[in-house]
Amino acid sequence: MKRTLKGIFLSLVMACFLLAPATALAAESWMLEEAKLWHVTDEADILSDGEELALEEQAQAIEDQYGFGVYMITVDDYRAYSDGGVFETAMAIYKGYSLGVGPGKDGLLLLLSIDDRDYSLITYGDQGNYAFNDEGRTRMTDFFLDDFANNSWYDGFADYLEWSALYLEAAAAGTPYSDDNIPMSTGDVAGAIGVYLLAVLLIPLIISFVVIKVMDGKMKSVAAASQAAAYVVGGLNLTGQQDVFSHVTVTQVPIPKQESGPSISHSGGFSGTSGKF
Amino acid sequence: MSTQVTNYQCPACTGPLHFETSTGRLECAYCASVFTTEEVEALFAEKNERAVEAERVAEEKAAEAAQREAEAAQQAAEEGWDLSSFEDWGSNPEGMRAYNCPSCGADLICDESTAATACPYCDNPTIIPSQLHGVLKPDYVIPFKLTKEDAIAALKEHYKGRPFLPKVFKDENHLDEIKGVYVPFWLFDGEAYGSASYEGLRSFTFRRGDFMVTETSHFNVHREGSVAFSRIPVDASKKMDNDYMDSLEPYDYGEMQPFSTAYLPGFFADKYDDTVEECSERADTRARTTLVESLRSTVGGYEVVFERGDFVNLKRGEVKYALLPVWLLNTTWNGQRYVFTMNGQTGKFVGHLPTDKGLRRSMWLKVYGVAFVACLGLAVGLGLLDLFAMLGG
Repeated sequence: MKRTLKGIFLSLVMACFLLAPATALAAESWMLEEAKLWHVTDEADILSDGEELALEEQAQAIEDQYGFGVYMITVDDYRAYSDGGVFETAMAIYKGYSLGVGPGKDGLLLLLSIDDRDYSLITYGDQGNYAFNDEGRTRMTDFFLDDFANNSWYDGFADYLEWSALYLEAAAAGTPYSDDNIPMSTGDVAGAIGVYLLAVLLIPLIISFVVIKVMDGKMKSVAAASQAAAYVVGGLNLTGQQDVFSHVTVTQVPIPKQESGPSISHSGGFSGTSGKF
Repeated sequence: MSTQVTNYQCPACTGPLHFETSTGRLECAYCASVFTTEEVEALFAEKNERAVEAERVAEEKAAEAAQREAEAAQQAAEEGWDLSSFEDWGSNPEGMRAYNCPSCGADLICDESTAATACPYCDNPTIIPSQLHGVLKPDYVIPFKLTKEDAIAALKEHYKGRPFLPKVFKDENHLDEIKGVYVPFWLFDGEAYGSASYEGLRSFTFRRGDFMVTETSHFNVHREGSVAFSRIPVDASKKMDNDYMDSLEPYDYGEMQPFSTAYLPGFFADKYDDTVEECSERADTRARTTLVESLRSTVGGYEVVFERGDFVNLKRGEVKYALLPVWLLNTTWNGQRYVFTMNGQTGKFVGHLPTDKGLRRSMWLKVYGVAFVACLGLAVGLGLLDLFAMLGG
């Protein structure tokens, strides 16, 4: 079931990528190409045949339900396919293989480049850009990149498909996920509820403990005197005062490297989120 | 042996005189005559001296009598009779003193440290001059300024704002006893001098390349100084709880008077039974702590200060003996005795109160409930409803 990108379509892809920015007419022409890929293309050979088949069936079911193509492509090194970055390569492949569904070529493509652990999640078309807007798309990567980071390839793609369907469902309901409508996994929801419940139970416990202790203190008004400041005559007579520098100690703490976050790109109707996993 | 006592009788009608806190004078309860403390002191000085002398003579006679009794008992024993359990009513049992009330003649026994008391039968104020004579004579007295009624009012005020006070305790509060007592205090003068060492730290943090660098400068800090003290009070009565007496401080020494027994009628008074040596350690500790805290307060400009040690010497000064006014209020509730004390000069009132465990539990639940509802509301406001809605969706 392996499909090979290299070979007969490579030159076509490169040509599309290089020519696409030239004119708007050229940009539209790629839609007419006949070259096709399945939903799952495992060029890096990280999935078993059974896993590919299962993912393919799920992706097809999503396409059937929403009229929207959801694609997964793995390669060893995206640089073998284009001179651009991972986003540009994903875009070139999408165009080169005429991915997408319907006249608007709506679709979502996740490209994994295994060697350098790069990824790009791009979408095309009005439906794609509505359902997978920048905020929602970037948030979506949190649900599967952790699996890829652990080399749990199948789990990561399964999550990708599951969340793609949820995003499409939310968009169909007119409430696409974004920063104003944050998607949460069941685990996230359970965790958040747990934190809320813990806070709702514990904070009152702490408040009531402090209040009761203060009230307890009001029942006691007798204590031994520990000092005699009230009986000091004329205050402290300071007869000696020395502040002598002794030494310096130096501590160095490495500044944590700022993790480079995902980058967001837009080009020719494509929107993409790219980064490392 | 019966202790010689004096009761201050009105020169006009021989009625008992008592010290009136509002006027600072002695008044007759019967004919309302008023006398200054100086007038009364002059009138009764000779009587007090006679009482002291009479007690000295009586003690000598009692010693002779005791000797004779011992001889008689020995003789009786030789004759076969055991009289060892017999005791003269007029003799002083251990820790107690016997006296006759000059007003009604009742035979009475009081604590051996008692210096002023009242007859339980006729309520006649009585002074025991020998307890306040010679080396036992106090240097100062702060007269009572507040009355028994003030103390009762202060107790009611003390109940206010006490959330766990049992309602029954408040409503059915019957004072077992309320009495004004001149409590013996030692007043310690002195000076604490010494030094203390600290380590002070100042830090500066900056970025160098890929590191955050913190440079901490260490300083050896040294302070020397002295603090003079005047009249640190330490109660000299074993009967009085030290913490209670500490809690009544401070007294206004500006109103302190040279001692006169004329201030005592109408109140109880004890002579000291804790010696200067026994009490000085408490004054020393307070002086030492005060110097250490004073020196520490001069160490500034550091982010962190570690105390490395201190060395304090004490220069002990004059010690004075004073009687300070305290109202004592006792009550019993649920089989437990509760003691309250009030500074008879300033009105400062202290005393632990009983806690109603049911009220406490109920208050805890109320506070927890209110806080829980508030937190829940906040949580809902922060989006808990959204979460549930998402789960439902």
